[in-house]
Amino acid sequence: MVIIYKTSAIAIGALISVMVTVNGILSGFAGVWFSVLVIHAVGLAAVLIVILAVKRKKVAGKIPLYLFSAGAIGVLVTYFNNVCIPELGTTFTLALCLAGQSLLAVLIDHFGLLGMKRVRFNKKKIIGFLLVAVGLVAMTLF
Amino acid sequence: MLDVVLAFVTGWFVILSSIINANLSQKIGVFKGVLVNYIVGLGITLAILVVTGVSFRAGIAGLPGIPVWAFSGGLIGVVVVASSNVVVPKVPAVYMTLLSYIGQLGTGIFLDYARTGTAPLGRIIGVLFIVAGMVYNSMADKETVSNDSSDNVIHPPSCSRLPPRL
Repeated sequence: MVIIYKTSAIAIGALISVMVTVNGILSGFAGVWFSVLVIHAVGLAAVLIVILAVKRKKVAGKIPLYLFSAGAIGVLVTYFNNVCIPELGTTFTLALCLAGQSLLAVLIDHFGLLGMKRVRFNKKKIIGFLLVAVGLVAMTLF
Repeated sequence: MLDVVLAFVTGWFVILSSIINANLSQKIGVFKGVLVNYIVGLGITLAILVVTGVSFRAGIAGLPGIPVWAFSGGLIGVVVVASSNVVVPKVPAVYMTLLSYIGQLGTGIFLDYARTGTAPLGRIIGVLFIVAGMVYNSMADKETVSNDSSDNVIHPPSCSRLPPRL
């Protein structure tokens, strides 16, 4: 039964890939920053529809200000994607992005940053990172 | 070269926003969290467009000429969040990131081929190496971190059970 969910996990990855590519193509039509606007407008409309249709969780207490910053970060992510996808292609852009994610993730875990539980860096993972690095270089070489 | 650095740094922002979004959605729910994200993002983007003097009239005038499917990115983002909401709790932590990455990179090959008509050997080999590296590290993670998929706690980012990017 879990296999359905694992397949869905791959499908979600596929959707992410399509999303960033479509956004990159849109930016070719509408301009890099204007497309960020369009993307957010469409997303906002979509989530409003979902919120109207789905049962809501009650808001619990005050919301600390820093929790609003994700929106700003998201703007940068979208903008950088729009810049990089047309130049580097989808695969290389995503590969670099994933490498960046993995790096920060192990740093956050090792030092227990941002309220995460401290998980010491497993030195074995250096091998994995080396393989990733080789893969990234291979993408640039030929 | 700058693009390479930008793409790499984008990964950091993805992780950061994932963590913040996870905290936000714990307080107000997943979709309200997305709503807040898009509202804040929209506001900031408007401000940037105004400050940099981008012509809204020209931008809007150009919209009808764009194929409809090119607008679907924002919608797909919401679909990703909604499906992650269902899938992430059901998939062991160690697999979620790995499977998502495989989906992203594999699809990337096809999309690049569709867009450019080429599938360079270097890109395919590169993806294989990257996946191999990720699989290896996932196995290493299996040894050290709890795999309990029924756990509601936010897991370490390196196993990333956090909702993938928006």
